[in-house]
Amino acid sequence: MKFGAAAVAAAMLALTGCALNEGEPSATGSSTDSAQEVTLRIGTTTDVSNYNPLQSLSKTDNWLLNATYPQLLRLDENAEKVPELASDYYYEDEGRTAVFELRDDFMWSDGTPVTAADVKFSAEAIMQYQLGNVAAKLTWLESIEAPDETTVKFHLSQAYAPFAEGLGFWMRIVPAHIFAEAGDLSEFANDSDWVGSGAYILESATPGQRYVLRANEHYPYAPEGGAAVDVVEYVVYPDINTMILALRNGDIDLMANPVPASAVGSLKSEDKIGLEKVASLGFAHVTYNVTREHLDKPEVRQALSMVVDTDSIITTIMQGDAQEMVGPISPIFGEFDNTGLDAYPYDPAGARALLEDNGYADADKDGFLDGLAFQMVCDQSNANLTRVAEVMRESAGEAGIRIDLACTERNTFLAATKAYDYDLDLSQWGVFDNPMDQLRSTYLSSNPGGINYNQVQDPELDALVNDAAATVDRDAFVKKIKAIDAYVHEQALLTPLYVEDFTFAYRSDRFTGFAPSPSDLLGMVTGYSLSQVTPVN
Amino acid sequence: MLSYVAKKVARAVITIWMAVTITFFLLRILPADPTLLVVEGDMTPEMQAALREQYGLDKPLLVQYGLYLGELLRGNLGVSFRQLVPVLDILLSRLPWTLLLAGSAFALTVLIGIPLGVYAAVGRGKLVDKVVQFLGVTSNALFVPSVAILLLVVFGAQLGWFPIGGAIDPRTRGAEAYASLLHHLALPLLSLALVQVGPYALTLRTNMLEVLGEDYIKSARSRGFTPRRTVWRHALRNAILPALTLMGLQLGTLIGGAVLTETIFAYPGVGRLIYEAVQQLDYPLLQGAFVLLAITVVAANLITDMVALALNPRIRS
Amino acid sequence: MTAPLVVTRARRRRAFGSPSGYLSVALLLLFALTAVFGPMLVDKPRGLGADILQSPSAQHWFGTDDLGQDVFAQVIWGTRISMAVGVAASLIAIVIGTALGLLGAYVKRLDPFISTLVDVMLSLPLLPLMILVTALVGASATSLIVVIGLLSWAEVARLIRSNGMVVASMPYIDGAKVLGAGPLRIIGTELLPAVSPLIVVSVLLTAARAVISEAGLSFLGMGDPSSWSWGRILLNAQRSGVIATAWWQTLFPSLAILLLVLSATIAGIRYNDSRDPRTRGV
Repeated sequence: MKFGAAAVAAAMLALTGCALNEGEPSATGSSTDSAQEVTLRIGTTTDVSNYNPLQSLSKTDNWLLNATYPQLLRLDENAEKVPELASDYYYEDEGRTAVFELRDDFMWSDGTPVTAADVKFSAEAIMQYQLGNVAAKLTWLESIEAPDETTVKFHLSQAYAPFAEGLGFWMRIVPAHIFAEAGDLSEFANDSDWVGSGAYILESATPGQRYVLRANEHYPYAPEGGAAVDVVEYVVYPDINTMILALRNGDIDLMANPVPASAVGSLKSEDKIGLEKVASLGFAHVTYNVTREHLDKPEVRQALSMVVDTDSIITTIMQGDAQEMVGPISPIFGEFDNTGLDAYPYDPAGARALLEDNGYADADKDGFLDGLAFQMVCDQSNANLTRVAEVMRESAGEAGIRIDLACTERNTFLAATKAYDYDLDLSQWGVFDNPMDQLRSTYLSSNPGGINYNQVQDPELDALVNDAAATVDRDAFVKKIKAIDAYVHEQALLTPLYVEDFTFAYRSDRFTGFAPSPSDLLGMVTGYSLSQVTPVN
Repeated sequence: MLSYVAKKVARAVITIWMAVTITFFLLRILPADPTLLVVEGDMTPEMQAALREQYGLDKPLLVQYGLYLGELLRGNLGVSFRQLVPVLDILLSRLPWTLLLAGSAFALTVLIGIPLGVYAAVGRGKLVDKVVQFLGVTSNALFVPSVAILLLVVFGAQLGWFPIGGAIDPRTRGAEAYASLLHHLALPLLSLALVQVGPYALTLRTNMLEVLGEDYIKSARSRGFTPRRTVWRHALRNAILPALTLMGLQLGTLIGGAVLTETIFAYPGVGRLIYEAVQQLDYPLLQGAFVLLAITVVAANLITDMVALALNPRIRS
Repeated sequence: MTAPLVVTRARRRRAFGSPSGYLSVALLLLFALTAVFGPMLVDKPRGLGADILQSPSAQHWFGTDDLGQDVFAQVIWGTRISMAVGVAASLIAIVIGTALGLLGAYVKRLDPFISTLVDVMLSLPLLPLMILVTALVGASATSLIVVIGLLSWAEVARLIRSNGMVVASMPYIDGAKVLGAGPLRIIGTELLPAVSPLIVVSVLLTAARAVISEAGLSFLGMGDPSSWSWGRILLNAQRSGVIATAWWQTLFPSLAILLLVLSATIAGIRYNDSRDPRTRGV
């Protein structure tokens, strides 16, 4: 019998061994000296949902895609746009032509050089298929010209100051010779045989387990002699807690996700773990779907804003690592932030009174005002926000508003928001690089960026936004942005929660030299940052 | 003997059929609109239409049921909502890990449970019996996540002896890979076995007590066999069979425990997949996972019965 | 387990006369009192507190979690829902299990179907099935009770059936039949009283399993989101990323589960042993 059990166990082992080898097609590849390779292991909570860099809006996808596909401009540690594929950029023709000069030493991983034709192709594909949020930035684009291998000219119908920086930072450049063959790019999965020219290029994917990227020897920003880290391996830990333990234990070297504020304290005392704090370029918020009954009334949205205790959220859930914001324009935009706005007070009783003044009543005596039941979606992998969700559900209950939580796995959450299938959307913007693009993407009725999560169709707001976009005079422009800030705040289209300072954790006893950029979209894991990393001894 | 085997096989088939039937009607009856379950918002209209046709969602329920069974027989468990690939492909890529984990937990439970149960029965009423019984009842009352978290925190996080999650280090090759496999397996395995071994040892003890009281054991002793030999050769052999079958019955809870353990240790098996499918609201995947686990448990039970038969042909009567 | 079902008063006294017997009953009583009165004495944990992740102290006996909520209060409130779900679900399971078990034991034509059904239910992996059903019907305390109850009766049915068969073969049952009693009447007036001690055992053991099931489902995020349960405390600890440091957040709910299940099991075993001295122990 004992022998029998042992035999069963041995058979299981053999069986798993087989499955194991099948599951790792490329891992056994040509690399014979794998022992000498330096591998950096990064924890992520989420599988890649879309490998098409022109299309994906997911932060977690972009961690891998940004390393594989280059941008014209990247964001440095001070949130300044600095050249990546572009060597320079400027405007001609009174701001109506944006010119990018390209480096000549970028190379696709199949050996083809990266040229102006690739840039032209990428932008045209985005226009043709209206892909991703970049499409919104190309509204005034009339034509693209590539006079030589290293020059691209974007001709615009009107001058738009943020154009070059917005496009340069947001657009991934894809290989024209591959993507042109792929047919309809809105359907192109791009889920194997990746050809990239960024610092690290996707090599294999085992969903549920790991994604392997290999250093691109041609990446021009790597230090002399090539990047010290040869292989970057993303390991999937759907649970942030397991990921933190894995980091402590040394199973991974870096967490791509920021550390939840509650866990920062316990990591500070670990001498093998380094922490890097970076600023946010976005903010956490509750956004109201105004096409839903009751949420179309500003008073209901205002009442909801009054059940959110942002002060306590910042002190307790965020442990003080966040700042408060009012209105849709974040304080990180400095002069554009309308500091004259007063936050809605935390006052559940007042919220209930406001609703009762507007005709809501609890006729069936179930404790909730009749009709006021909303579903709030949120991303389970964001530990801070799932805690906010619970607290908000409780205090909304005091105001007679029933909130049902639907905090799901990140990709499920993204699918729900993409389909506008929610009443309340509790989430976090990753990066807004300028206030004008933000307002255009989030509030225009035409929804050019696909991220008007309010689904607001307000002619007055449209007029305000379009008027500001066409304003050239700086002072007038600032004034108009502030006016929109105030308008959206009064309408309570959203309840801003906080601007988070992100803390990233890594094994400082093993690796050093990260070049972190602000925001959790970029953080420690940009291709540039990873290419600068060196192992400790 | 043949009729015994036929009976066991028939029972296995009925069990699987019941599992399949339960899930089919659950999915069709519980939510208001079955199309909502199979057809997802962000699929294209063509995909939705193709799926509706494939599942015959416009036809009467019983016809749908027939179609469903037909598809199952051809190995079609449907398409995952989230990953848009066949459910079976996803499940089969995860199944070996669960088989390894549950299989080794099964083996470990038997290996530890037998001596515990036998010693307790032989030393009935003595200290060893009391200790085994106390441990057995305690083990039976343990909550898998509590044990798993305890092991994880102590041996993983604090002492650093074992990895925190995953099933293998992909950089390892050959013998090293197997060592890594076992290294990753240790804690999830232990958290399952600790919970399983108690009830198992207790049942074995009870069976042994019954067998020890039987006449042929007494006659074995009277023929001059030593007590030790009597216990191990004769009594154990007869006590093991029901205990083996009982271990088969415990397989259901073993698999349930695996769902929890795999979740905590990020072990890439079917149990973990179930947790992910819940968070992804991926109903076809959830349904497929349950059907596959039911088949696995039933098949394992059948194998257990056959092993029992081979060990002792007496039971066929 | 197939012992004659004669329970003498002396044996019953013996069952709960030993330390493990009365300790377990005392613990069960303590849990029951906590479930009923605890929430009246301790405020419901809610909102955001100032002291987060405090280790146990005089002020916070079981420490605080990452929202600054008192873990002791969570465990107290969790006792109510964990026990309520356990008891209610086990009652459903007992009713179904007893009915099917007795039918199987007495009505010979139904027995093959019932025993097959019991075997099938016993061999299915129940937790995955519970997860599937709960995911479909939506998480609430009521759905947990119904789901756990409807899926946990098989063990009861098996036990009742095998003991019912022993009783059914006794001469006095035949006597009742001769006197003209119908099957339902015989089951109700003769078999049911005869197996009732076993039902008491089953209630305890099934409730213990139900508590574990409820904790498992809550731990997987399928519990009632608006009420506290022990599984949910563990889930919160797991999600907030502090299980390696905030040991109090996982230890106390784990101990509560262990002690409740242990005392219910021991009480059940002691009671059962009083009828069958051969397997006595603990």
